[in-house]
Amino acid sequence: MSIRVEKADNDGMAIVLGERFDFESVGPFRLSYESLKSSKSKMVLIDFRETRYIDSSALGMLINAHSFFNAQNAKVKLINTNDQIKKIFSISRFDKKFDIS
Amino acid sequence: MKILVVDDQEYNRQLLSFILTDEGYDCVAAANGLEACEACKHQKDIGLVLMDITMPEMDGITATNVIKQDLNDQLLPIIFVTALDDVDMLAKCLDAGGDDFVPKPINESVLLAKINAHRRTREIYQNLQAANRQLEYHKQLMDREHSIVERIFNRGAGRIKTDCVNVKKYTSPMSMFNGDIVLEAPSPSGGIYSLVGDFTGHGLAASIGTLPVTEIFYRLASQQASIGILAKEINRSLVGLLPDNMFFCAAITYLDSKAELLSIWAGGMNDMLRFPAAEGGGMQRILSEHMPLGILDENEFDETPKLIGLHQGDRVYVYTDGVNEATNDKEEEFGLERIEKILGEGGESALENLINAVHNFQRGGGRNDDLSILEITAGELVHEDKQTREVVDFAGRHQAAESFPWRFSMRLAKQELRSTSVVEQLMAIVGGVEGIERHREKIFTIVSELYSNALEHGVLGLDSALKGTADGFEQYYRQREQRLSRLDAHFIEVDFLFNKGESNHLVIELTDSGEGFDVQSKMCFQDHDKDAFGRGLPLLQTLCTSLEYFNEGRTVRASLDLSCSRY
Repeated sequence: MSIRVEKADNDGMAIVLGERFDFESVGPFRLSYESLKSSKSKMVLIDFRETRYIDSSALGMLINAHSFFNAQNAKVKLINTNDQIKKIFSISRFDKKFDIS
Repeated sequence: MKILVVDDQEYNRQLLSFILTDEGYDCVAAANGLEACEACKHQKDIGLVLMDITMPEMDGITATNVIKQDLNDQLLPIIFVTALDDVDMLAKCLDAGGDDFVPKPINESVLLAKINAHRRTREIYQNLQAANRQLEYHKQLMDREHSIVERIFNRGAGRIKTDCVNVKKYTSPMSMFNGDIVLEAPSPSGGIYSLVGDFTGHGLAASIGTLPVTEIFYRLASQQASIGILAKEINRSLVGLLPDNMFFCAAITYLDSKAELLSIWAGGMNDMLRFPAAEGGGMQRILSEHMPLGILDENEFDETPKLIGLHQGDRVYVYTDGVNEATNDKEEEFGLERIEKILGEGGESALENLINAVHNFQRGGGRNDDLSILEITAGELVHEDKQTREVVDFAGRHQAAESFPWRFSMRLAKQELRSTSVVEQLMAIVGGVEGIERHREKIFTIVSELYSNALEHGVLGLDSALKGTADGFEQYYRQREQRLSRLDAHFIEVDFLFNKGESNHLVIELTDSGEGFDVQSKMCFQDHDKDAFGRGLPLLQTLCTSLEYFNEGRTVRASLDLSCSRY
C-alpha cells in the first residue's frame, strides 16, 4: 500500500506510510504532506504502523516535512514506529527534533 | 421363498406341503423341534417357519426360542399352527419369539393370507437391511477419509514444537472436516501468529482449501512475514484454486514478543472482541474490515492490517460464526449477546464457559457443531515445548542457528541497476536463511544504505549537498533517474558471506565501478542536525559491528554480529 492521508483525532491529520519508506516514497510523500497545507491542522501524525523498513532517505524526507510544517506552525509526531525504526531515529538523534512513539 | 413345515404328524406335514407347493413355495419338513433347529441352522434360505407346538424330542416353543436366538440380525417369521383355545399357551408362543398363529383345523385362505403378509414384511426388512449395509459402508469410507485428513492436519500442526501459553484455542472435533481452521505458530523473534478461519460450504470439499492455507501460514510465519503479506499470499493462492462460489473468511493476527501490539487482518469474520484487564475498561469490538480471502484479484486486494495496542492482561477473542449461529431445538440462535456476556464475565475459564454454554444450548436437537474460538491474553509471551513443557527462548535459539556457512555473490549491471527493487530482491534471497530472519529490518537498512551509496555516489556521481532543500531533494532523485537511464559500462558487485564462529556473522561487501572517494574526509562524524542529508554513513557506523572502506572508497565491507540484540 502506498502513502495515504487520513483524519486523526482532535482535528489532526495523519499520513499513513507503506511497508517500506525509502527513496521510492520521495515524490508521493512530499505530495501527501503538501496536500495538508490547506487543512490548517496544528497537529500532523506520521503513522508508521504498517512500516517495517526505512533507509536514510526516509530521514531526509522527514527533515523536509518537519521544516514544511514548522513554517505552517504545525507540530509533527511520528507514531507507531517499530523498535528498529526507533533505534534508527535515536542514532540519527531524531528524538530531539520529533515527538516519537 | 422356502418354507419349513414342522409337525410330528406325517399327515399334517403332507397336507401343508401340498397346499404351499401348489402356491409355488418351496417346502422342507421337520418332524420335531430338534430337526427344525438343525434345518434352520444349515439352510439359510428358509424364509418362514410353520411350527406345531406339541412334539416329541423338542417342542415347538423351545425350538422357536433356539431358532430366534441363533438368528443375529436376520428376520425369520415363525407362525404357530395350533388350536386357539389356550390363552396361556398363546402367550408362551409369543414370549418365545413367535410371530403369529394359524388356527387348527387349517383354513387354506387364512394360512396363505398370513404367509403373504409375513413375506411382505420380510421383503421390507431385507430392503432396509441392504440400505443399512450401504450406509454402514459409506460411513466406514467417510471415517477412513476423516482419519486421513485428520492425520494430514495433525502432521501439519506437528511441525510446530511449541505452545504459546498466551494463546488458547478450541475447535470442535468435526469442524475440521467442514472447513474450519485454527492455527498458531511462533515467529523467529518470539512473537506469535494465529489464524482462525472458515471456508464456505460443508464437508471434505470445504476442508480441502485449508491445506494450502496451512502451508502458507507456517512458511511465512517462520520468515517473520508481516500480516499483510500473509493475507496477500493466502488470497493469491486461494483465488487461483477455489471455485467461484467458495471463499475463506479469516482473521490473521500477530502479537509481538512483548505483547504490546496486535496486528490484525480480518475478512468476512465476526467482530473480534477485546476485554481490557483494567477495571471498567469496557468491551471493544474490532471490526473485520475486509472481503473474505479467495475473492479479490491481486490488484484489488487490500492487505492493510489493523493495529491494536494491548495492555498486560487484556483478552482478545476471535470466533467463527458456528458459535453465534449454533441453534437449539426451537431453532433459536445462540447469538452475539450471549457470547459477549459470557466472555465479559471473564475469569481464567471464560473460553471453557463459552464452549460449555454453546454445547448446553445445542443439547436436545440443536444442529451445527462447527465451533472455533481463539483467546489471546496480552503479557510477555511464553513459549513452551509441547513435550517437555520447558520454556523455549526463540530469540536465543536463532542466535545460535545451525545453518551452514555460505556465500552468495552477484554482479549487477545496466538493466539490473535500473531496477527499483534491488534491495528487496536481495532481502528475499538472504532474509529467509535461518539465523537471519530476526535481523531482517536492520539488514534491510544496512543493505539499502550500502547500495544507495554505491549506486548514487559511486556509479552515478550524485552530490548529496543537493538534498539541502525540499526541491533539491526531489531534484536529486530526478537526476538519479536520468543518470540511471543513460548508464553504460558500470556495475556493482554484491557479496554476502555468512560466517560461523563463536557468534555468527553476516559480512556484506559491495564494490562499485565508480571513481571512489576520499574516505578520510567523509568518515569523520558530521553533525547535521538540520540537514536532510549526510545521515547515511553515521547510521551505518552505528548499525554495523564494523564498517571499512578500501580500494579508494570503491569497496565497502560491513559486518554484523548476529548474536547482538535485534535492534
